[in-house]
Amino acid sequence: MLTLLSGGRIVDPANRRDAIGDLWLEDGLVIAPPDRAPDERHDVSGCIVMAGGIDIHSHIAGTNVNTARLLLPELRGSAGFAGAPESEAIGRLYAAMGFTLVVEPAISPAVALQAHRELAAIPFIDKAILSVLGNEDFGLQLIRAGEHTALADYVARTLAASGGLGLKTINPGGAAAFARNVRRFSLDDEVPEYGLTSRAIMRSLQQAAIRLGVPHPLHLHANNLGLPGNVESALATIEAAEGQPLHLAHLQFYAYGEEGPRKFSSAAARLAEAVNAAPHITADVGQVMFGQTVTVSSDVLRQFGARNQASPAKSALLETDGNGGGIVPYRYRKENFFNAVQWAAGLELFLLIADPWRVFFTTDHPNGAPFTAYPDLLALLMDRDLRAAWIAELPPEAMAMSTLPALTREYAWGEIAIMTRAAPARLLGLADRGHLGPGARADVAVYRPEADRAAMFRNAALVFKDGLPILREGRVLRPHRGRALRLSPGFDAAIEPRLARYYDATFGLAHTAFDVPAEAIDRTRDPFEAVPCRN
Amino acid sequence: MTAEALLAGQPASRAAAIAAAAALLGASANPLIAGLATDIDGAEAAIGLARAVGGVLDHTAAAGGLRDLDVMRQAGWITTTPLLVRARADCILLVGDGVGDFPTTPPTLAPAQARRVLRLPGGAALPHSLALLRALLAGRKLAASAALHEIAEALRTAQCGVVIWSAAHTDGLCIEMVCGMIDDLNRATRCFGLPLPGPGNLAGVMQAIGWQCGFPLRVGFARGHAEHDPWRFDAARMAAAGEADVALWIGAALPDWAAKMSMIALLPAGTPAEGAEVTIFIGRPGVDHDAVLHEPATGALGFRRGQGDALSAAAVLTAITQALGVPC
Amino acid sequence: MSALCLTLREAPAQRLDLSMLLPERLAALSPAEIERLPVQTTRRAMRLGDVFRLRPGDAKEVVIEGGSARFDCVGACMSGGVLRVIGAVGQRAGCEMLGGHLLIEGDAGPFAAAGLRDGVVEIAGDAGDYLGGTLPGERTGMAGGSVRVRGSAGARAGDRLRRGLIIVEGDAGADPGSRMLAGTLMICGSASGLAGYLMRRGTLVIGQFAKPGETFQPCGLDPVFPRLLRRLIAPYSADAAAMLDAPLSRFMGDLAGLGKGEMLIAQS
Repeated sequence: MLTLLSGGRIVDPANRRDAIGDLWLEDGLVIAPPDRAPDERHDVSGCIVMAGGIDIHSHIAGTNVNTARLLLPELRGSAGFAGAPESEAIGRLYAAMGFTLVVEPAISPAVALQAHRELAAIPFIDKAILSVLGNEDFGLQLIRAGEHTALADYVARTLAASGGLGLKTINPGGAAAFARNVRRFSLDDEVPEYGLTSRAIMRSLQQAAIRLGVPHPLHLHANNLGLPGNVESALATIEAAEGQPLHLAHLQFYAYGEEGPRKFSSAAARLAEAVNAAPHITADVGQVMFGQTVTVSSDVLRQFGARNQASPAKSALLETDGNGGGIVPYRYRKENFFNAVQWAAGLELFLLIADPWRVFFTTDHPNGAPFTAYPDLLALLMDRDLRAAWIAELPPEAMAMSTLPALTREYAWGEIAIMTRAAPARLLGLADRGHLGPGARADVAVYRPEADRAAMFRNAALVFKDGLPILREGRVLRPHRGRALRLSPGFDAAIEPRLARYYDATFGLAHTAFDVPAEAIDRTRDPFEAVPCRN
Repeated sequence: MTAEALLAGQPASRAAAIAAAAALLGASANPLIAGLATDIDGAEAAIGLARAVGGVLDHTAAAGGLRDLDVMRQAGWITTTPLLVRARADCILLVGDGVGDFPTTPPTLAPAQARRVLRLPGGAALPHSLALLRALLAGRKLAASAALHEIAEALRTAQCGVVIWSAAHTDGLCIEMVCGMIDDLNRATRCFGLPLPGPGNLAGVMQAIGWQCGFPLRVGFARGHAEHDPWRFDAARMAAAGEADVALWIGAALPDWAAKMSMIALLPAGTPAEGAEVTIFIGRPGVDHDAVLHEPATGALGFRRGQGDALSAAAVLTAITQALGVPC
Repeated sequence: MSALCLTLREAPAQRLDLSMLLPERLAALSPAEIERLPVQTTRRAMRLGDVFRLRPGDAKEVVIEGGSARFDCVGACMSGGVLRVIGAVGQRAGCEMLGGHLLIEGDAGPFAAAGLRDGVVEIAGDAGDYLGGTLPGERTGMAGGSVRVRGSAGARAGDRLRRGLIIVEGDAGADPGSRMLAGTLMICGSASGLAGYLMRRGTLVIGQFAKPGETFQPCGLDPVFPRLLRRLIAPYSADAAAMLDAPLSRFMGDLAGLGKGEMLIAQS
């Protein structure tokens, strides 16, 4: 079917286009204007037309997210969205905002099958997972032995078997150290019994990803998340990357100094400066927004520490070989000094990191805020007066701990399109996404500008997925099922018998016990879409 | 050859049985979809059917699962997986009944340590023993048996202690006492709980209901959205109180309340189905057909290849849901 | 002007959600609107007017004439006024109530007064399990107000009680006062099971109880305390006040945890 979107303002920075014009879609792709009449025409004059949004870091599936659903029956009705909404609502609400690809960034290979089942239950959008390594015994043994080739093979096999789009490491070594009763763990602390520092684990995995040609750089959840003064950790981590590509997840949670009477301040300005000076570094923000949420993290050491602040006062922690996880409900409050500083620090990062190709739009859903807060956050980035109105309602002593009140930058449409479309596609290695040039996937979001920008972003005027209109102003036009994007990196098969011996001896299991075959996810269609590695 | 389905006890075609099941459910005022001993495909299809008919979902082993869940969501807990227990546990405490024996082979990842396996037997004394044990670990000077002192010392000095229980055999308050003790221990050392999963893929069904509905069992859809109410949607209670008129049951055998209402039974081939109005024989998930099930050995969902391609609960439930679409 | 009155036509064929029958809510509605309120919990639509005959009146007091164990959520989240049921109710009567006066002149099902914040709940008959407890899976128990049951209570009365007063003039089922955080639970009759298990603080008074667990330690009783408590509760229950006149044994527990709760037993 040939579809024409006529007369909209097409904001497509990847193709250096920002002009009123037509957009033609056929067979799921954007095409050059043809000499034929369209089968379907949508007049989108007065609207902004962008590629479908891409979220690179949002906890939408997996056993930890599902534990959050089971943990919090008191978040009833619409409050349920403050926690972990059910799969159907995730797909529908993301699509309503014009997002068409969301990456779940923290799946332990041992529970990848459930994560993919959950992804398959999320309608409308495409999805992916990042596979988590860096705390499990087998990987740490390889790193300790300096077996970098075997490590790369192991990483490749894990990505292939778990259906991952990239490699993530979460407080590398921190969970393994906590399992051995270590309570504080920084970049140069050693994991007992292994004699490995977090730095060594991070560097080994970073280089394994580079060696394999994984498009997305190692996705790092660094040490000391959430602790006062942890900006030093983040700065040291940027240095530790030694000029090689590294993605820092939810950087806001590392932007804390120890200034001021309460020994807690925003160090976001310093951190943004360091990111600006390090072109090999990308970061997503993990913005805090106010309200009830639930924190879901595989940083079990951090979540153990966070239990005392749980609201409602309960939590579920899981210890495993590897990362495990912790679910701690939390309510960010405007009147809370610390929460207000966190909110300001996130916005500072957005506004002070100069290059929109290297800063990514996330709330670390649901850790900083549920993704349903995105429209409000986008509005804040585009409007300094709106920010001033929010700042006026927050504790002045908290705002004094941040440079935010002095920042006047406003995101332009082109920058929004880079940050939420073009840059994430490039970061994940997806050539056919994030832009609207001929050959691009016909995932398109159409927004009708209005004074209330949040309302505009919450329900896009029209959303196309694979060339078909799926939602209009939040209402479903037709059902649609996306796929899960995965890599299939090559590796030396010699790792297989080695893993088989290890799994048999250690766990009494076949090493294939956790593999995710396509037929385990969907017997009626291929649930996956392959993404090539760079080599 | 045995029948593929029965209508009022007489052999019938599968298509006729599916049509009859759809007619019963479509006309029902308050249908139950219970038993739910099925794989993940079956659970998801059952949820779809429950949404379509405004039905109630309950699992035959939900009571035990809810005991565990209520401790997690009313008090919180720190747990682990069977894999970590096998690989690292140096001290294992088996609490109450239904926990069987645990291998005493030395842990692979902690070869320097011996593994101790201790036991607190079930019975009327168990709640008091657990309370005393936790009190001893908290440093209270209370009179206690040498055995309890020994267990306390073992847990206190363990590097990786694990306490194992089965909620099907253990009171909720006892489980909460255990989890409180584990929490206390983690102030100074590491200790974890291992709740053993219930039968009938309970843990897997609970997970699927979680991601599909945003709630755990028990769930009802009569008012157009998922409502979570473990008391109101208890199938056995509803049957006894005459609150449901039709039940679709998935399990090894019919429940003892089957005579209370019209039954649609999805049973393994050859199972007696006396009293069911509609019976459709299906394969055993992971045995007679491929299936995703919660694996007690790993504590995670896993894929099991079956020996054949027998009819699955999911196929039947999907067919019934589709048959409902046709107005009667 | 007399009370707004709803008279039961016949025993309902399904459980009903009567959470909307609140004085403050009905005051804002016309009789026709009240009769159209949906009450069904199954696929069979049912409106209030199908179940009850309405006699309009001043909704500051709402009277339900005729009861059923299928009347759920009567007085749930009520914030003021008087709601009187002449008959039985089902689960969750008065749960999460914020104020007002709920009178059940019959038996109540489970979770009566669960999560109560304030107000008065009186049950003339028996109460089911989790009287003044928590809603399933939720964390917040009763946090204020008072509850009086003339008959007996089911299991786990006062579970996770945080503030307020519960008096059961009859017997209690298993494990009363489990996980109490504070507040006062008085059982004039007997109790069974693990009374006070996992109790942190608060006062649990029981008429007859064989023996507290080993993590409750006997300790002395300041004679002033029962007199103060008696003065506090006398307006609510003569039976409970009389119980405090008898000699009391005092135990502290549950020493498995914080151990700052007290259990007073009138007759071991």
